[in-house]
Amino acid sequence: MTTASARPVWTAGPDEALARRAGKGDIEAFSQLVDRHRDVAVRVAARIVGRQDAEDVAQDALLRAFHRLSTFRGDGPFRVWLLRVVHTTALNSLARKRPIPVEEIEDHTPEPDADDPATPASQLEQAERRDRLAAKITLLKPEHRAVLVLRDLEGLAYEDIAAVTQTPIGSVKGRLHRARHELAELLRNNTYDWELPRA
Amino acid sequence: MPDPAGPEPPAGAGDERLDELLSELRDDPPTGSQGLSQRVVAAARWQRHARSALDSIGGLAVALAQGAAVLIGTRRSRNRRNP
Repeated sequence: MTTASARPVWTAGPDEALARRAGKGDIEAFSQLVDRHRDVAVRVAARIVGRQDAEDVAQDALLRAFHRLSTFRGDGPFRVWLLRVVHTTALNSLARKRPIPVEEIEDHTPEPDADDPATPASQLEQAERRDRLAAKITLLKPEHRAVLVLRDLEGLAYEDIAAVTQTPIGSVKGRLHRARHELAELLRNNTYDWELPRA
Repeated sequence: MPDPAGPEPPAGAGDERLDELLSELRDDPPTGSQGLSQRVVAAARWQRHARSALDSIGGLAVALAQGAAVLIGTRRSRNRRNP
């Protein structure tokens, strides 16, 4: 699994300077922050709430962040602070929505394609497989899902995940362990082409 | 609960395969559109203006209320002196 190297001592950078200016109402500084962090906000939102709602959740989170910039103390990376807002907004969005019926995210497994890996057909198959995997992730409990996304897809350090999710590091590690186990079981039980060996 | 200072939880069977699968998602990340940035910044701009306007209106209302209170207080004290 993804491992993060030992964290160097954190020092404030351009993001934190921009955040201070934006907190005083500088829209140009906020615009630069949005450009720098838009993609990570959408990525994390998409993995938690699904691609369809990701931009709406990211937009909501970025605006909430704008109005709360005065609470950003600057004693840690701005990205971690922003991801905390994205994480909370995404979980709130999930809580408001109805559960997704299982049949909507069931597999539509295509026939295996033995063609060259570079063919459009195989690329389509790979894209569909990615979509099915992303759908499987959305079946995890939201708090497990968030930790898996932050660690295994975004590569955040445990300390940062603890700050984003506002949970102790021990809980983060426990949730991650359970999330990986749950996902592996989902893939083993419901699809034939993941090739996950039994424990 | 795992020890916070301890090593990463032990990898189970299939973890390597799981990581391979997740790497496919890492290689194809969703991205935000330029339109998203424009919408966010535009909304931030008008919301800031709206907040300033509301603050001004609120300040004006407070000033008017205080002025009215002073006027009413003055009139009442004058009435008490000259019944």
